[in-house]
Amino acid sequence: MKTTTLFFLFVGFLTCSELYAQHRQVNLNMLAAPATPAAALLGFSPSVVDKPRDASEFLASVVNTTGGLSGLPSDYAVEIAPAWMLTGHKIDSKRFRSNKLNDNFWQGMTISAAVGHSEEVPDSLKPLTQVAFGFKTSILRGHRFSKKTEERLADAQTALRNLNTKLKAYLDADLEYQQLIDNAIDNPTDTAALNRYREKMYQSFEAEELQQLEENLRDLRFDRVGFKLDLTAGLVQDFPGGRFGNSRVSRAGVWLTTGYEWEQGFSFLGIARYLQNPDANYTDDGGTLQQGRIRTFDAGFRAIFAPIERRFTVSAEGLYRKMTEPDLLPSSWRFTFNAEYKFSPNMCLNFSYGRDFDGVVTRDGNVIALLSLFTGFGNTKPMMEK
Amino acid sequence: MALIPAFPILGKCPLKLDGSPLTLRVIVGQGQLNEGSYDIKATVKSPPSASGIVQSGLPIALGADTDLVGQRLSVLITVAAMLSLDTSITVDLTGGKTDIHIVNATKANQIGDVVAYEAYFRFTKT
Repeated sequence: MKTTTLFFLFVGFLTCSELYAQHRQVNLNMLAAPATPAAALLGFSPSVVDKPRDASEFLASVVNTTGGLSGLPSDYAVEIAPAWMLTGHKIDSKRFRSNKLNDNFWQGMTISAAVGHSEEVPDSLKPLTQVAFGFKTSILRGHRFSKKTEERLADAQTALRNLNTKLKAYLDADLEYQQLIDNAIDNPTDTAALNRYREKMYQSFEAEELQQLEENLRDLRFDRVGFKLDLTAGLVQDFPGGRFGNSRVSRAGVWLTTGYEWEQGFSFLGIARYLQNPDANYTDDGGTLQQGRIRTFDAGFRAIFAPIERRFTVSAEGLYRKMTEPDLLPSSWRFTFNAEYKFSPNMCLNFSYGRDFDGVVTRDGNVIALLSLFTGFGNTKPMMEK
Repeated sequence: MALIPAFPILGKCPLKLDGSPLTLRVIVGQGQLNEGSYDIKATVKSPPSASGIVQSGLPIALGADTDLVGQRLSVLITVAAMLSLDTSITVDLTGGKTDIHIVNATKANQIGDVVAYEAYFRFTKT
């Protein structure tokens, strides 16, 4: 009974420590480029972003939200991938797999726009229309897929080749079907008989390759390994009073994300972010609240070793911050080393050691807490002096 | 798991009959996994005078138009939906009196489905 109680207390301790550590963690994700820059700059949730896949869907979306193109939409965010929307029929699997600069740039490009309405601060009665634009693309996206992905793709390709051979033989062997095709070529307006026959033929065709293809392609992740370099940019244009003649850029940002991913589970990620806010509130050296333009530059890196199908993860992370305008604060940096061993998805031992932005050395994680706990066991109980 | 037949492409390809080389090129779009094959036959019962595989984007030399007149070209492209449900093929047949350019698109029901595209062209004098 005592052992069971101690075990549950230990499990509870690990789980709680993990949740606590996650909650307190400030990491490189803070600097990560937003998935949809225009929507993120206006504070839209990614789930409300409209992502039409083709031109007709996009036009329908625009017409619908603008009341038949009669004005600006209200609270609307959209993202399009022009390569897939406009030239998707020209992108074959070879071009999808390629790592050429033009293929990466074009296929990875997304353009986003968002429109929001609010009230201007400090004059909260004045309506403020904000229009945001965003751009994202990949310059390098990894030179190949992971071995696991390649293996599944190769199996799927073999199954598809066999299926094509079987289907071709099946169609060729049916002379009635072939005759119907000949007739339809001569009389293109009379294809009803061909369509009926064809439907029955396809319904009765069976091949085990269809099952193999589904197994190989279902939940297939197109993980790439190698160098990756992504560029993201976005800006917000304010229209006070909703007038087009009176506008200003209220926020702008550029993100550059790079990294290298190896097959064995080692990856390196670097991020640089430059943000401009021409009309921001900040506190000066004397602690007085000021309003004006601020420009900030942040950079960070993360190196992770997380071997596939192993329980441990080791990572190191560094962040650098500098307010370039106004030049009031010195640059600062933070460094953290993390080690983690997972017993289960919700339970792990972790340890972190590093230096915070203020120069204070930090040691954290439930390993440190556990060591403190264990060293406390068996100590002589302090007695009150009589 | 389904095999979806796309609407077949059917047509005639009038030839110049001056020995011009005919070229077939098929592009399978949307980055999807694909396999293709083709053959050329004089009649539905006769053995193929030419056959082979079709690779997306690669032109196939079918031969001189004087050798192809009266025969029928059959193309079968199977496309597995792996990136999205959208599938499409573009068929270009050049070297005849007019160049043929056809785009056909069909949506799969789920990832892993296979869309079968068939294209048939008869080479004619007029």
